[in-house]
Amino acid sequence: MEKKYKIVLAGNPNSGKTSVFNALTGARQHVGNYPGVTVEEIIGSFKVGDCKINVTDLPGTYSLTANSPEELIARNVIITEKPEVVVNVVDASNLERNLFLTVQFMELGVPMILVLNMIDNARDKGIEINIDRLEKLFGTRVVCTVGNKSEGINELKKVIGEVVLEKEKHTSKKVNYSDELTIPIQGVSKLLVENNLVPEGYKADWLAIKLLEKDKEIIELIESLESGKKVLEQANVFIAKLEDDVDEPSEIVVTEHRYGFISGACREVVNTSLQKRRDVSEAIDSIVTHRIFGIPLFLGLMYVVFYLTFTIGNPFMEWIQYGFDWLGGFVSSWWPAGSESDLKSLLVDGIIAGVGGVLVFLPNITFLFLAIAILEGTGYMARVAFIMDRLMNKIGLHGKSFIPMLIGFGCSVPAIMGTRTLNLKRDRMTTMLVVPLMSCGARIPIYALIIPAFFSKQLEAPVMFSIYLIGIIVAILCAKLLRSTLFKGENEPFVMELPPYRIPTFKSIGIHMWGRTVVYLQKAGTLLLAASVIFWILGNYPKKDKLTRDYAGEIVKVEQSKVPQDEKKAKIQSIRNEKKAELLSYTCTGWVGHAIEPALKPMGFDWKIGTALIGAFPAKELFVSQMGIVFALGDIDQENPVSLREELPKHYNGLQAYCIMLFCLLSAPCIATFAVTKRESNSWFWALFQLLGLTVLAYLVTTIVYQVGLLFMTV
Amino acid sequence: MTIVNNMPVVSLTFAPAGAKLIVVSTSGGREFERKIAALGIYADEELEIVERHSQGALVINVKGTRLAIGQGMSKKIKVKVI
Repeated sequence: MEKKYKIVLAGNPNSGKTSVFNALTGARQHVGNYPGVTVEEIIGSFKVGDCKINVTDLPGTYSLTANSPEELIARNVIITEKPEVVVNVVDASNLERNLFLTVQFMELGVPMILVLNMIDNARDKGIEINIDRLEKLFGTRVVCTVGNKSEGINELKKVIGEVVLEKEKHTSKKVNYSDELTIPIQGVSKLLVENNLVPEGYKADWLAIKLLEKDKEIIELIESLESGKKVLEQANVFIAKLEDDVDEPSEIVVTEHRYGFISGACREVVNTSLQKRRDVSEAIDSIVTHRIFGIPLFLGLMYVVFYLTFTIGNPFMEWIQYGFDWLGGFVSSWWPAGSESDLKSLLVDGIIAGVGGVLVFLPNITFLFLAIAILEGTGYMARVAFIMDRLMNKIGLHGKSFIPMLIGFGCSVPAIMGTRTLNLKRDRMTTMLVVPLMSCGARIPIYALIIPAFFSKQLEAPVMFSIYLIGIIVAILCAKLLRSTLFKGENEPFVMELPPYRIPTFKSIGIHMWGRTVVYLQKAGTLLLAASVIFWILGNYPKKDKLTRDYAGEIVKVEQSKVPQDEKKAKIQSIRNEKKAELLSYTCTGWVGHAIEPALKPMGFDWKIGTALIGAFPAKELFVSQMGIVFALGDIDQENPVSLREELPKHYNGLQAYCIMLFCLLSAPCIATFAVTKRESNSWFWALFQLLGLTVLAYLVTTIVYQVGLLFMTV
Repeated sequence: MTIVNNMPVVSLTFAPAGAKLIVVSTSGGREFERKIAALGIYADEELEIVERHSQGALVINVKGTRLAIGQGMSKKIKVKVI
């Protein structure tokens, strides 16, 4: 029978942990979220002999103290789920820093395998590691790997197979600290044991170390137990004495001793033969993070990313469009030509058109995911966050907020999914809520419809620019407002490792990009389907029984008349369109459009615009086709909406047109954004807050612009 | 093992780039200090400024890796030249 074992993979960020994980498990991965937090839980599996090994890839951390959600999760998974073994991946070329986490696993006293990853890199740098000595010092097996080349992976699998069978033999050694620290640890540990304050799954020594580190979670855990508060007070006597003796906070003493142990170990096992020379990464950084060239270089690079997103994405978009058109035509052909069936309309006009309207953006979204994966994989993202930190600080955000906001110009969906790199909830929520204000790709068809219709050639570019600029300014103001009201708190101090530049493998980029795309499709897809059906119903019901004109009769008349065939067709089409328009104005969507007309008046909108705006909720660019229906122009070609461009100036002036664009820019985000915000914030409240908040904001801003504009126009 | 010399204690913001520095103290609250200590910035540890950016933002070299540090943070680390 097949035996199942559970292990975890842990290590510092930038230790190449994910490449080891990918090499171990291949494509058999499942990405989920840890309950209640937006930290990714990645699970995979592989086989050794007749054992099936399930691997959890823990979030990358430097420590196991309650400094961040990632660190808490990493240690809680180990304590509560009791994996058979912790596979600790370390960067072999930088043992001293990486072993800091290793020592903390030793404190936990868990079975462990030490993986010296990127061993090739270490050898190039002239670093030699005495493996036997290291194994003896730490009491664990040590395996050397090169994760991104899959070197040493089979050996690692073999060792994992051996260790899970006899894990007692491979439990890491206890770390021996000097008496200075050992005495208070043992004192506190004894107190906990004597008072029965060691919960199931914990070790007394480890709890004592955490109390010395003043770990919030553990203090709360002990406090919650009977007589816990009293014992904590007694424990504080030990801590106070230690702090008195060395004149330093106890948490820093613990850190110093850990690093002390490590530097002792490194002296024994590491032999560096080459002199340190200025490496390639440093040379690249002197340009990339340059105080003058850094930002222009980055903006140039992002220009290329967006340019490629839309140029490479476009042919794929057209294919998808053709695909959905074909599918629509195919489904229509099940019914006899000219017949009118509700089911057909639901399938073709509702589901296929609605879902298709959003899925055409899939190539763009995937491409942006790809770009993010590459920028992250090379290590460039950390640099961008650094050079942008000063700017972002001014609006109360972290340097890392900049990237999601920029990605927002392409599409809000990957942008919002990108906010999970932010540690603090207040930074993450603020960024998430303002991202839709960055004018995304789906708004472009709206601008492309309106700007040439209302503004002279010379004004086109400035008008377009002003829309984007307003979005940015409003986003900055909103971020400032949110950070000083709902998400108060100091700016998080910026500190980030600048890892050496690396060339990411195709495999790792592919896995990353694919994983995110699947999540997007699952989350947005289901909601999108529901929304398409709902909005189809709203846009088709109730049906008007008595029409003002006898459309069928008119069509028959035209057919019998003696005009050329082309003219006949055009006339019939225009009669059909007029009927469609009349029907729409009677439906829920039309009714709501009419009903809210008085409320829309201050913005200069009539019921037709209102109706189209409601119909465009699933995806922004649907506004164009909705306007087409309202104005009885039939199906509008989004690429070249000539007829609508001619029609609109007959009904609206330039100010109204500008206000339409402004409202589309600022108002409720599309259904996919709504779905992703719900997922990433883990709350319907914030998703709805964003939806309603932005709509109210759009209403206010557009009203002010219209009213002020009117004053100027009458002068 | 604090190294005793006569060099003045300054915040990292004003320390010279390229010179070997030793951390004298850190401030900014327990959580923050514990966090940067885990990254290798704590009293008696050596570090070096690799590059200085405007308003106190820095790239430093500590324990074999380069860390980028934001403007607000360099004020909270007191160092002296060794």
